[in-house]
Amino acid sequence: MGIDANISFNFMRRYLKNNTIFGLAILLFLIATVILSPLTADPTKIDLQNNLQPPSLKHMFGTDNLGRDVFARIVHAAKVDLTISLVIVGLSAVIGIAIGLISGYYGGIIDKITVCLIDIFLALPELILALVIVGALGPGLLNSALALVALGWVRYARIVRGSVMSVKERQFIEVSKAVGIDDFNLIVKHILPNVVTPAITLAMLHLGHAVLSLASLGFLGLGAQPPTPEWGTMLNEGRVYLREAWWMSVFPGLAIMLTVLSFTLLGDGLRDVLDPKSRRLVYG
Amino acid sequence: MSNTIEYVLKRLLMAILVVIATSALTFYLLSASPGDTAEIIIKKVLVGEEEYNPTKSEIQTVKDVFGLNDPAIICYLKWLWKAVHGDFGNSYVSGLPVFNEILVRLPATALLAISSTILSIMIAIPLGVLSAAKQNTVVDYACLAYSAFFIAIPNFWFALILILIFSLYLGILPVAGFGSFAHLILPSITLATSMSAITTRLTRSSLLEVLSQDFIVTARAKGLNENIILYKHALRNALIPVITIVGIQMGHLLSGTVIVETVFGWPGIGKLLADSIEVRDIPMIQGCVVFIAAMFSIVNLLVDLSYRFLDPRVKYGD
Repeated sequence: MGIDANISFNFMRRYLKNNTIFGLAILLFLIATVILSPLTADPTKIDLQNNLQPPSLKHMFGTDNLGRDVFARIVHAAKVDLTISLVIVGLSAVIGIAIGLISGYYGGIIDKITVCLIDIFLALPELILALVIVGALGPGLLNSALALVALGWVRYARIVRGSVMSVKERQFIEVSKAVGIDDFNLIVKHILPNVVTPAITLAMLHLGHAVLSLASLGFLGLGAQPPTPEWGTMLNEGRVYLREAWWMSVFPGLAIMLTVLSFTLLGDGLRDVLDPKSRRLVYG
Repeated sequence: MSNTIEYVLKRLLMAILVVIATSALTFYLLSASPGDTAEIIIKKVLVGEEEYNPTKSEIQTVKDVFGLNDPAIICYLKWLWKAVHGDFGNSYVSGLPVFNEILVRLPATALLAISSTILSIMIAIPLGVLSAAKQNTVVDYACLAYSAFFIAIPNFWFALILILIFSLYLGILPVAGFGSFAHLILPSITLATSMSAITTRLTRSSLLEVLSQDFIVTARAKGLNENIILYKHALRNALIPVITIVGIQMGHLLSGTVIVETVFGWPGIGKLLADSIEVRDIPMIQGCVVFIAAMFSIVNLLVDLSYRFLDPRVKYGD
């Protein structure tokens, strides 16, 4: 027992202490698959003769109900899911940070409205609001992304607004004002660099969250529509064939899990480096 | 004391504002969405064919029957006025009162929410305590890995995996449905594992923080049994933030159940909402969202109050 337990113990310790590296490794692996995705089979090629084939040498992850290669679909879906999630996070962050800066700096009625909006948005489960927005706009990848941006900016605005309120009382801001710097330059060049750190950490954790939300909407049939390969949508299609073809459901879910795990680990690592005092546990 | 009452009233007022704002937002989104509502009702609900082309008189009839002649704002105010009096309108699909439909579905959702919360606590607190008590050992890392994985695992996928193993492969539990204890097991496990992932981490970090405080050092210095220190002194203090997070999660459960109820065919409010969105049953969507928003606000308020009750150091009114 002694040696085995020791080896596994040391391995675990090193592995988990370096979980940021583990997260980075998964991310690099994902990026590599996205870059190499043109080398896979055509993800939309229908081959009804060979449908619902179990994993084999020819089809690593088997084929789906229309005979399409599940591996190729997962790889191409990675491109869709990662790009859209990145766009969701990018837009949410830019909008949220801008609103947070303006509302925190100017205060007054703008700030009151912003705070009220933040309270309303945070007082509701996100997925419910996303469901309503997508339900109203109609299902689709772009509408899902739109809904997630419409909800995503709130946390950035809150976190940035809070920091701006404290930074703007500091002396160097007063000095800058006295020197005659205009508001725009003051906000962008002097306040922004001092408040952006927590927003960066938030963005990393938000990425994992965005992948999950996008896949959830896809799973409910409201996200990407077939034949677009998207992990959540693939799971929705695979659900019907769970009895005949487990591989249609198992592999896309694994892809989601690995991606989210990678972003969560990276987010945690980033937070430890950027603001070690913070104790936020997960995005949410 | 008056401070407490003032705080509760303020929070209640905010909760009511949030619920009204939500209903307005939902109403606006649903009525401003592409396509004439009457046309959609005819296509999706009455005829059931996307390609069906309704005539002008058909549209007019539907508008009269469902009261869609007024502009959106008037429709909303009418709806709000009735809603305040407990009438949430009738479903476009079944024609039954929305409020009754929701109440019929409530017990199923409540049963699932309560059982999965209890299960999640039964998993998370022992794991969290174990993890903190054996900090930086294999046990600790295993607990942390458990938590990291279940934060990353999408619950709709985990539900499918559970069905695959326990229903299709082993054949010991039903695939989906409602009615017996066996039906409750898989949906509860699905929700409980994802909830417990966060609670485990929080229990661990909260307990570690308490264990580093002076009164614990004193207790150790006077030679108190380590188990008594852990369970009697430390855990009680460490559980306060844990209770808060469990409460907040119960609020969030309402959205988690949309997916889990859909997968397991569980006849609760979440599935009702998902089904209503699919057929664009606007009064039903509206009713569900308002109901969920209200429940969420109430749960959050109760959590805040209990927090302040459990930890007398916290003051009201900030």
